[in-house]
Amino acid sequence: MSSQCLLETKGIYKSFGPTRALVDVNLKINRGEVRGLIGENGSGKSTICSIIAGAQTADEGEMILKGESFNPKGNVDAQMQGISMIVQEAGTISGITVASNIFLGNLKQFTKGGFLSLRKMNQAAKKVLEEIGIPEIDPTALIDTLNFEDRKIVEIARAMYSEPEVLIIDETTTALAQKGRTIIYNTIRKMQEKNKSVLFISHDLEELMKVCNTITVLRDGNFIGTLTKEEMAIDKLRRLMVGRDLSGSYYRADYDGSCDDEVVLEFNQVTTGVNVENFCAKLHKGEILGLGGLSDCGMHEIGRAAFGIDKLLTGNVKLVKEGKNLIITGPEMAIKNKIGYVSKDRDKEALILTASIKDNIVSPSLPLLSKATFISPASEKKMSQEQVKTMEIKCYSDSQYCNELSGGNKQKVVFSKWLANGSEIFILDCPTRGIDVGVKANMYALMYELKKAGKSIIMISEELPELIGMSDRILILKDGVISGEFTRNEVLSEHDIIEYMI
Amino acid sequence: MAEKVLAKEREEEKQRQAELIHQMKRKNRINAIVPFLGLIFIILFFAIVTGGRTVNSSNLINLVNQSYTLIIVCVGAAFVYGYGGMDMSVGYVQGFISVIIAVIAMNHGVPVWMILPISIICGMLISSINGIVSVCTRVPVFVVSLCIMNICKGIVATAVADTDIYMPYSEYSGWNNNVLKAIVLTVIIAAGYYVFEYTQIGKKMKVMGGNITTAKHSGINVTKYTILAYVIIGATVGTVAFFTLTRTGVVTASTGSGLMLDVMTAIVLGGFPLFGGAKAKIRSAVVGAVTVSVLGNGLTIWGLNPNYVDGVKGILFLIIVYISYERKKGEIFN
Ligand SMILES: Nc1ncnc2c1ncn2[C@@H]1O[C@H](COP(=O)(O)OP(=O)(O)OP(=O)(O)O)[C@@H](O)[C@H]1O
Ligand SMILES: [Mg+2]
Repeated sequence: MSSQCLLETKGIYKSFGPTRALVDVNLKINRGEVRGLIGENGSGKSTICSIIAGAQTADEGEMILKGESFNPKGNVDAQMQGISMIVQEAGTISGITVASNIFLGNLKQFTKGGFLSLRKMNQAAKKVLEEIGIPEIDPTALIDTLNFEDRKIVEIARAMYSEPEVLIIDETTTALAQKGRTIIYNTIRKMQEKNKSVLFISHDLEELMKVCNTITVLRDGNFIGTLTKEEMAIDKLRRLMVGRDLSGSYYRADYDGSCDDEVVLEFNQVTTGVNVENFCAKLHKGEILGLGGLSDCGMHEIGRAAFGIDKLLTGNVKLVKEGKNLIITGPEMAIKNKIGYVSKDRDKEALILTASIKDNIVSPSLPLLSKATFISPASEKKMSQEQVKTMEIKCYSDSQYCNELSGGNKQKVVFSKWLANGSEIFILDCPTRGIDVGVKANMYALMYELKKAGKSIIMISEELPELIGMSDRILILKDGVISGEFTRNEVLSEHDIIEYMI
Repeated sequence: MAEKVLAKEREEEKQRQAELIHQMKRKNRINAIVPFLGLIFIILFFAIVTGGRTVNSSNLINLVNQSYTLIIVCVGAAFVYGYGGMDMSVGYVQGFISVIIAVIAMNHGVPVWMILPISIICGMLISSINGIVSVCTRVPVFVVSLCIMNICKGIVATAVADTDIYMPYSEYSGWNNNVLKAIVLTVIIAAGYYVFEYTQIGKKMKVMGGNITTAKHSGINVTKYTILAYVIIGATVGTVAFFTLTRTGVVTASTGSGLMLDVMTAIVLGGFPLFGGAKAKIRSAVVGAVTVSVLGNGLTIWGLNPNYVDGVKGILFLIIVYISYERKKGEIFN
């Protein structure tokens, strides 16, 4: 493998108002290299990547691609010059087809005499989808008919059709289940075989160590160092990221899967329009119930059902409160009865991007804050500042808008909404998505505290280690029905569970 | 030693950041007063070009009469635009209400003091149809209100087809009273300010304007608040219909016809976000309303044919939207 330099950044600086996102960042990526990029939430990973991919410009510094100065005019331009990026947030545009999304901003190649040849475009899209290993997605389908994971896969196709020299993958894998991850890993391998480069961001250190040749650590926008394969060790990476030792275990330490007998939420024969069939389960007081499976197994729909978002075809979800049974009829009713729901699609469903952190945090708690119709600004401020502190949301003030936050920090805001609301039942769909190791550990500790305080949690997750590490009981779903149930114990391993998933 | 250097650096960094935050806050404050400055500029401009005719006392009274209806409706409109809605029907709803109350007052001998509440209730009922139809049929409210506008326009046209409806002027002149108007105006602005900025109603509507799915997931009954927004704007239109009728004493086919454009222009001129959300402020709606009134009045006195004034407002509307609208830069990401 030649160690010829493919891409270099020299002295990149970037500030957003008072926030210094990048300070003198120098990266050098060689051909055939898979470079990992790690750092805490808000350390500047997405920022440096989007600068390389042409979506933003640096305040200072220069970039060199294949020995020549590189100044992309936009992300389409960067892609034409050989740099593609899969973004952290959802990057598809709704209302158009899969094929149009793949070739977004680049339809010229299919245009002749002012007419777009849909046939040619769909064929080309089909080919790209086949190449990355997902022929079952129909290029003529409307993007909105796809689930979250498949939409992300369409973004992979968009990044790959131009046969990039450098592929940037920003925090995508934690949003994906096995299918999507396999596609990403295969894509990375192919890039490497062709002697091209990959810049890979993830908060999953084990994944990074498996996939990458070298790992660069960022902290508060500063370049901390680059480790080679031989130097990598999880503890060391964590220390470099956070700047101090993170000792102790990540997940809860006990193996006591018992909980109160009192049932708080009961699913009766729940059948939804998509996937789920006759799902029955009980959630107890003080229980962490894990739901796992492949992405289209129906677990996300169960979360939505518990919050009353979608209409059920049959069955109901019953809330038991002070001895009375209440049927969940919708989010308003669910929230009144202290249920909180963290959606998987945070930008579209869980956040108001054009509102402040404070406005977001208090939004479900407005009825609580209202005293004789009056909501005092001081009470709002108090509520949000408490959350900013407990969740360590990185911002300069709680009046900062959410669209200025890094991915992981947005996720913290979503979780905060329900903590602030004093929820008794938490339905968490991929709660730790995009959250860095340090905060993740805090979040697990918090979940354990909630459990101890008698709150109940449904944790829907694509990460088996997280399910095994935190749940009292795990239900595995396959094609919409329960295929396995596991109670917490010391010897439970991923291996035991996987066979029930596929 | 190295520790000390680091600590010092960190301290400096903190100071630098505090300084920048301070600068940013100042900039935000300046941005917030731009609409006010714009208003002052326009007042001065017309005072100068008309040789002071716009600021003499008789015109000022005239101006108060003109701006006061627009301000009241804009307070109501803040709720509708704040939640992300739109209302094309305001003007002809005013016309329709005027027809109803004029007929009631003349033919049924209802005491004058009862006409005001009747007018307000009519406004709430008619305007709420916008919200109700829109949430039931899921047709965008822009389209629904356009239809309502045309229906009301037709009703008014039919009612005044033979002759304009005149009011027994003498009975009502006591209501065309500047002190009373000032009181009503103050009460409405104060109430609107309180409800929009400090209660669940306004705050929930702003959440809806920011992201309607998030609003639903935050337990907000979006159906209820959509309809409520139209009830509120309807109440303000009802109020305005009454006071306009007591001033002019006549309902014609053009009663209220310019209101919709004025409201929209006022909304954007005041810096109110056209699609609602967290940046929506009552004060923007009010400042915008005053600006539009001063502008219309100033242009007329300056000698512009009144028929062209709407044209000028339309052009201005376009310019402001062009400047303030956050256009997608043709970028795919971010
Ligand atoms: N458009 C913006 N406006 C203001 N501040 C921004 C903007 N984009 C990013 N920032 C700030 O820059 C810093 C770096 O953000 P960035 O998104 O690069 O973090 P990240 O390393 O990708 O974090 P995460 O792991 O959470 O995704 C953060 O403090 C963030 O708040
Ligand atoms: Mg990021």
